[in-house]
Parts: sequence; structure tokens; C-alpha cells
Amino acid sequence: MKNNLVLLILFVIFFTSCEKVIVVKLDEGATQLAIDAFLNNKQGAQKIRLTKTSGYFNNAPSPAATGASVKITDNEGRVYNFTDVNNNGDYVWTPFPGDTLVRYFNSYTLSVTYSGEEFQGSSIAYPSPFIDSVRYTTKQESGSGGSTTGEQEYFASFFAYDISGITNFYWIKTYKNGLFYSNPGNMNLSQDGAFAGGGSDGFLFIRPIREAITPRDKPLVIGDSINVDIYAITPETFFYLNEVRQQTTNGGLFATPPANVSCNIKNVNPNSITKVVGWFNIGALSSNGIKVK
Amino acid sequence: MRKISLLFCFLLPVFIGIAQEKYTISGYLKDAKNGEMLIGATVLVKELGTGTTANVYGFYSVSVAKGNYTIVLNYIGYQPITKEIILNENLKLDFELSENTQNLEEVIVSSERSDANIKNVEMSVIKLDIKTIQKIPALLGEVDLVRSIQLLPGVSTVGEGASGFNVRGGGVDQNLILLDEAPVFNSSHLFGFFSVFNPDAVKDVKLIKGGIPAEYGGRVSSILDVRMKDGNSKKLEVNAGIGLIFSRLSIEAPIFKGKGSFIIAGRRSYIDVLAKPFLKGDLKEAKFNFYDLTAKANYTVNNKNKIFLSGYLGRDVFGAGFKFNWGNATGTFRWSHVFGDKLFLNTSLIYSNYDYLLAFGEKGKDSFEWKSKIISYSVKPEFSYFPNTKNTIKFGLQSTYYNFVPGNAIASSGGKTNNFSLDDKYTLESGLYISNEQKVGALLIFQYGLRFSAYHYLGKGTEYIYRDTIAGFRKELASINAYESGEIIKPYYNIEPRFSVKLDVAERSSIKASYNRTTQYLHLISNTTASTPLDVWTPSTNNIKPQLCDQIALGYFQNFEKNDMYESSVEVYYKMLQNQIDYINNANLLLNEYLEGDLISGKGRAYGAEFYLRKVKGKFNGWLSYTLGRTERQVNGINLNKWFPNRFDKLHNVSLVANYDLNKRLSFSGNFVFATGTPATFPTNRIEIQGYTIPHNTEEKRNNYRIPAYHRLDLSATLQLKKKEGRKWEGFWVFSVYNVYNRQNAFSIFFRQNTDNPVNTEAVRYTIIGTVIPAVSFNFKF
Repeated sequence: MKNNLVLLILFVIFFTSCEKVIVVKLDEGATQLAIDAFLNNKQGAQKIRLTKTSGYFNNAPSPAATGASVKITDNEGRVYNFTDVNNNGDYVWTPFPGDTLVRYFNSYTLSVTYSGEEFQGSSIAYPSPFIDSVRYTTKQESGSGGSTTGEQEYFASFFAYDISGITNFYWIKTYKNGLFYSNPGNMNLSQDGAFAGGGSDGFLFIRPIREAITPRDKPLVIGDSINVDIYAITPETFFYLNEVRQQTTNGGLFATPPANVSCNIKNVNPNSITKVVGWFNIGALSSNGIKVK
Repeated sequence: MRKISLLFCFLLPVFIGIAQEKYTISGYLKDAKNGEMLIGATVLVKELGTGTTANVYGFYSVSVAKGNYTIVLNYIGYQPITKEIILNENLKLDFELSENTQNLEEVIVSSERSDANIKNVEMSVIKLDIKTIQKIPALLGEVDLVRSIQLLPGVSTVGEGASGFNVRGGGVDQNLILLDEAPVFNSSHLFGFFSVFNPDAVKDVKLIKGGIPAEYGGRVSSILDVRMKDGNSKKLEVNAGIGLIFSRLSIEAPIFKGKGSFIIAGRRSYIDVLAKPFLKGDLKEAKFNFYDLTAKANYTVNNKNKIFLSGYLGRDVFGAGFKFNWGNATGTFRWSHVFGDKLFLNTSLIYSNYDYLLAFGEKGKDSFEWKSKIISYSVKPEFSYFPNTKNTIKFGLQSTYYNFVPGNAIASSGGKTNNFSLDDKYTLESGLYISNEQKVGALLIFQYGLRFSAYHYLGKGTEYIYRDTIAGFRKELASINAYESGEIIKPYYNIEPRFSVKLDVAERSSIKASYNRTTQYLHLISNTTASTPLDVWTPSTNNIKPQLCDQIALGYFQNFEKNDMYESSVEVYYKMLQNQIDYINNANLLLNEYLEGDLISGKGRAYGAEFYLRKVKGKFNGWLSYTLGRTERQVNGINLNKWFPNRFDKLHNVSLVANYDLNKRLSFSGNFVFATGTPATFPTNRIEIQGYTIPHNTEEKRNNYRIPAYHRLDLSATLQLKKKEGRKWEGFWVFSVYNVYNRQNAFSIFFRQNTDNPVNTEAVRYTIIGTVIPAVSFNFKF
């Protein structure tokens, strides 16, 4: 029964999943009009961008769709005309000082006429909560972090409470040194301060959302500034952005079947074969920021 | 009901026509060395040229007219026993067969008699014994049951690391996986790298792909029936293995003075422990391991009664600032009873539980905790009746009560707590079956049966009624109805005919055909490429209809050379599936009370041909398997309502497995696999919104491209230690190399925007195992 265990030479191997960029030839589909209309209550130019979809690997900004007529109306009869002053696909409306596009809970209709076809979409404007503060620490609350370069690294969090009484949806956008974090994997969405599902009305934004403004692999160093926007979105926009996140980060073992994202802008002529892609959301935006010293 | 009376008309001649004075020989067939029951060992009455085989509990019964006979007991790899008997009364005879020591080096790839593949009525069945599985080169040198069966015709996987397996174009949730009769809801450790079955505790594995007998029900595609060892009833035996990923230990011994025995087998992985020195900072506390414990005990009360108790407990544990673990637990209590000499009863009480936990943060403060589970309790009395040598009748009942906990989730932040748990669901699934295996003349065997399944979706629960909408869009809730505990929310009933026939066309060849209908009341809600441990099983409801499958299969079986040196077979099959669950685009499957509004339903079809050639004996042995198959579905709302290939569709699938025994100590093995790349959906265009570049398919096609073909070569060598005088233990080394020529097989190809320059987009090949993996393990026993 006595048994001397034989010692082993152990090769320490890890499962090494790897990703490699490869060349794939794709067929290009028919060109469609794409409408990017995310508007807020801020002063300064409000912009709707119209482009023409291009081949997936066409690695340049999509060509501008010019010559369209673009306007937004609200349920109280206000009309906002957006014009492409520079003829580059950016259709702009600028409020007078003190004025704003956004009146809470009003419903808005976007109307775009392009190449003889009219497209319409609608959105409701929701309020956005005040951001109490943006703070930074040397360590994330969850205990993550730990410097790899030797330079002191900082992780920021924001503190805000969900607006209680109604169901709210938010898109938390982060800018580091004025540059938007456009990595879709870091897209930070919230329902009532939590991830999703509801029932967290009036919550302090939960920790994973507070901390997500600093991606783990992109910590801050002294001199960096960080700005956070909480942008109010409609429930439909919340699902849409979830789709965008899913479809732009759809890799790995647990990928879902790729699917086209939704679209809340439709051709007013249901018999027309001309389709449109894009999204329209209007809502309040609140901001706060800090500089690491 | 007409079908049932028809069946009894069939069975009636079986019961009459037994007027002649007959006696019965019955008993158990065991292995002389360790007392293990020999499943499928044959009993031949030489003078009559007929006989029977032992059932899964090792029990046999033959009834013949009074007289003097010679009976021959056979089990491949064992020395046959011949016994003269004078039959003038009912006899109880237990036999112990000894392993054939002369051919110890010979690899035994199938149990039973050597021509069982030809002579048995069953078709579309794969049997592997543990000795064969141990010879196949394995990932990290660890023998694995599920990975081994994937080398056989008709079985495939969506890719490395994916949980479960696909049988003849069926989904991973369409396989009924039984461990000593208890259903296993997740058969994988470490996602899909290893299966939950500890090879040290496994006796017999059978995968039924078609012609599914009436005693099995509940899943539409296949049955993986894993039987555990009973444990050595002669002496203490210890087996152990030390590998790179985990170590194993099993102990078996007789108890109650040889009237019983037990086995207890455990495994524990230690990747995290080994990795610790290499991890930095907080990752030092990372957990990444799994363990499992398999145990069984049996006790022979007397020669009429035996009892068994078996159980499994396994868990995968992940953690690094979060907790994520999942596992199965099963328990089976079994009582075998022999009434007289011809009627055998096996009654099982079965418990099975699968659960997972995902948690972050400090409880009550800033935290999130999510638990889900599925629990089932079954009772299963099953009878085998051996009226004469021509017929074997099986009948019985299975009844299972399920409790589904789709999600208990609690989140808290800033002192506030929110509970967004989903309600539990309850169902009762029952099956009543009868079947007969009837020999007609010397060449023909029929197996026919009926299974009647009844399903009740029970309260306490809520019935959700949705408005119809355009297929492919989220359905809107119209109304809800609450039901009290025990009330029936929705019942379903199905009759499932099962039929198989075998006809010998020459001495060593036969043709077989089968038809079966199967029903499945449980569905795994998963729309990811590989199923995840977080996937939730959901019952059929008023909105989710039970899945139905009709399969026909036809096969030709032939053996060659002396002693059936080579086995070969060709089988073709066609399968039609109804009520296949699919999902609207961007469906929300987790913790969604209105999940059913995101589900759509379609139909499926799968068809193909399987070719199989195996050299069973000799120093050089192995097999070649080739499957040509298609699996498709049609769902309104997907792919413009046209048929499209399933995500795991592989047109060609080839496996070559070879073993060479150089001498008594050293043997080599290799396997090569090739499969067509699985389908994938690629975009045609890009949409630019808010700085994101979104892939878009203007034609709304699903699975319009294929990823590159998969192929891989693995090699291994097994070296037995020299036997030494006085040394009580024996051991062997296994050296293996996985993915020998370092093929970077694509698991998937996906599309993303470049992180540094978001305007640029790129296609990315994702590989799970992108390197050569050498491994060594040491195994010993005493």
C-alpha cells in the first residue's frame, strides 16, 4: 500500500487562444443611406450626419450623402431645420444662446428627404442625472490594477444617482484628454443605474458602471484629464446600442449569430424598396470631469 | 390508441405458443477478476444454435424445452466457458469469465461477441470500451470520453473548446446524457475541453444515434448511456494518474465479505496552483480549477435482489475578483429484482441537479449575485421479460419531476438592493413504453415498440400570452394568467413509435433499417456558437412547443477476413425536426421574464451517409470514419425565411485513428481529423454611427460563408513499466503531442474595427488552440 509518488517534470501549458487578422474577400451589398442622429441639449452646433454605406472593408470614412433636406419637429409644433452648410454630410442646427433643442418628455420627429424618398423616425427626450463628482484612486475598488510599467497608474470613477420615479436609460460616454473612447467593448450602458432589468430605480450607479469609465488596460497617469457624459437615451436606443456593442465585439467562444442592428428610421412610403439604416435619439446630457494631478 | 392495440396484436403470439414444457436458465455473468458485470455477454445454446445476451445489469435468461444441452458463454477478450447441462428444472447459473491472457496485447475494441455488429438488431450505435478510449491520443494526455466519441461517424463538434457534441446534425441539447441513468445537464469541464466522466469509473459507453429503443425518451437526437463500474468485488484495487492538468485517484474494494463492492474516483485540476508563480498582482488570487467525485456501491442481498447506489459531484470554479462556478450533482438508487426466472425488474430513483453561480463584489454592499439551476427527480421501474429464446420484451415507466430556477438575481449598490429574480417553473414528464425484440427464423430480427409520453407544465406559474407579430421581431405581451401550485398550465401528449429490423444477407453481412420518432420537452436556451455554462434550460410552455424528430436510417454491415478482423458499415439517415427553437436578432436570453417573446420556432432537417472501416484485431489496429452530412433549418424571420445551414454543419468529416503495439511494453497511437469549415455570417457593408463601424448584411443572409477547414494530427506513445519481482504495483507513462503540425484552426472569423484606428475594419480569425501541446502523464495501479 505504501507508494512513493513519482515526481513529474511538468510542462506548464496554458490554453492559448489566439486572434489573427486575416484577409477575407467580401461581396459588397447595395449602397444605402445611413442616418446618424444623436442629439442633446447642449449649446453649440447639433449635428446629424448622413452618409452612404460602403463595403465593409472600405477603410475610409463613408462618403457623405449631400443634398438632403433634414428637419426635426416636436409635438408642440417647433421646427428645427438642419442644413449641410459645408456640403460634407454634416447637417447642423445651432441654438440661439440660452435656447436648447431638448424639452423633457417632448416627442420629436426626424424627417429626412433624400433622392426623392422621405424617411422618418421619432424619439422622446429624457432627462439626465447630475454627476456629483469624478474621482480617481490608485486602485480600482474591486482590487484590480497593479502597475506593469512602474509609472503610477490611476483609475477614475464617477458618482451619480439614477433619476427616481421613472425608468431611465443612459449611455455613459468617456473622453480621455478630449478623445472619445470609441472601443465598442467599453460601451457603458445603464438602466436605472444598473446594467439592465429594471428595479434599481434611484440607485447610485453601480460599481462596475462607475468604474468602467477607465478601461483596465488604459489607466490614467498624471496629467491626464477625464470627462464623463451621461446621455439620456430612450429604451429603444438602449437596446439598439446593446446591439451595436454585440455586433461590433462578436468574437470568441460565445459569439452569437451576427445580425443586422435595428433601425428606428423608416421610409414613409411602405411600398418603396429603398431602405435606410441608422438611428435617431434625442436626450439630455450632463457632464463632469477631473484632471489627474 | 389504435397503435397501441396494434402493438399488442404483435406481442400476443409471443405469450401463447409457450405451451410446450420449457425450463429456464438464468443468472448473472461477471468478470472473474474483479466481479464486474459483463454487459452484453452472450449465452449460446449450442444444440439449438440460439441464445441471448446479458442485459445492462449482466442478467440473462434463456427458456428452452427440456433436454440435455451445451451452453457456451462468450465475451470478446474473455475465454469462453462451455458447460454441459441437464435441463429438467429451472436453473440459476452465475458465471465468471476470465480475461483472455494469451492476447493481452490485443486491443479489444468492442465488447460482446466479435460479430455483434452484424448480428444485433441495433444500428446507428457506437460502443466504446475504456481500453479503446485510453489508446486514443488525448489533449494534454488526458483520456476523455466525449472527445473520443467525436472521432466516430455521425458525431461532430462546432469546434475545440465547445461544450457537448452534435449527433447527426442535432444540437448539443438534443443528446440525452445519462450517467448511471441520471441525466447530466452539462457534460463539460473547463467549457468543453474535458468531459465530466472520470474514465477510471466508467465501464461501458454507448451512443445511440438512430433506431432509439422505446425505453429511452426525452431527447430527440441521441442517447449517450454511460455505465459506471460496480467496483472490484474480489480485491482492493487502486488506480491513479498524474497529469499536467489534473490528477486522478480511484479506489475499489469488496465490502460485506464479497457480497458487495464499491468504487470511489476523484479528479482535481490544478492549473491555477501551477500558474500562480507566473501570475502578477491580483491575478495571484485567481481560481481556475475543476474537480469531480464519482462513487458507486452495490450489495447483493440474495440471488433475487441487488441494490446499487451511485453518485456524481463535480464543479468548475473560476474567480478573479468575481465568482463563477457551475456543476452537476447526480444520485441514483437502484434495485434489481428477479421474479421467477424470466422477469427482471430494475427500479431506479434518480436525482439530478445542475446549477451555476455568478457573483461580484461584497454581499449587501456593491454586489451582484446570480444563481440558476435545474433539479430533477425521477422514478423508473423497468421490466425485462424473457418469455423464450425468440423474444425479449421490455416495458416500463419513467416519471420525472423538474424544478427550474431560471435565475435568482440580486444586485445592490449604495445600500439599496434590487431583486430581479425570475419565477421557478415546474414540470412533470412521464413515459410509458413497451417493446419487443423478436427473432424470426435464423436471419431476421425485429425490434418494435411504442413510447407514450405525457408532459405537464405545472403551476405555480404564469402563462404569458403574446400577440402575433411579423416573424423575427420581438413579440408583445398581450396578457398573463396566474396558476396556483399543482394546476396544469399546459399539457402535451405524444406517441413515439420505434422500429428496427435486421436481416442477414450473407454469413458475415447484414442490412438493417430503423425508424423512430422522439420528443423533447426541455430546451437549452442558447444562441452562442459554443454553449456556455450560463445557458438556461427551459421547459415547454404554452409558447414553446415540444421538439419532435422523425428519423429513418438504413445500413449495411459487413465483416472481413478471419475472426472478423475487419468491421465495416455504411449507414444513411434522414431526419426531420419540428419546433426547433431559434431567436430573433439580438435576442435577450438572460434574466428576461419575457424570454418567450424573443423566441421563434422553425423546422430542421439533417441527412447524410456514414462510412466506417475498423481493423479490430492485431498489432496494428484502428479505424477510418467518414461522414458526409448536411444539417439545415428553416425559420420564418431568419435568412429571408429560406433554409440555411446550421452553425455546426460540416459537409465532410473524416477521422483516422491508428494504434501500433510495438511490443508488450510500448505502443504508439495517432489520429488525424479533417472537417469542412463551419458556416459563418459575414457582413457586406459598414454603417458608421457615433464613431462605431457596424457590420451590416444588406441581403439579411445567415451563414452565407464558411470558415477554413479544420484538420489536426495528434500522436501519443504509451510505455508500460517493466514488471519487477516483488513490486506490487504496475504503471505506465503516456506521452502525447496534440496538434502536431501546429495548425491554427479557425474556431470562428469575426469582424471588428481596429482599436487604434476605428475607421479601419478587419476580419479576425479566432483560434482556440493555436499551438502544439505536448504532455506527459503517469498512471499506476496496485
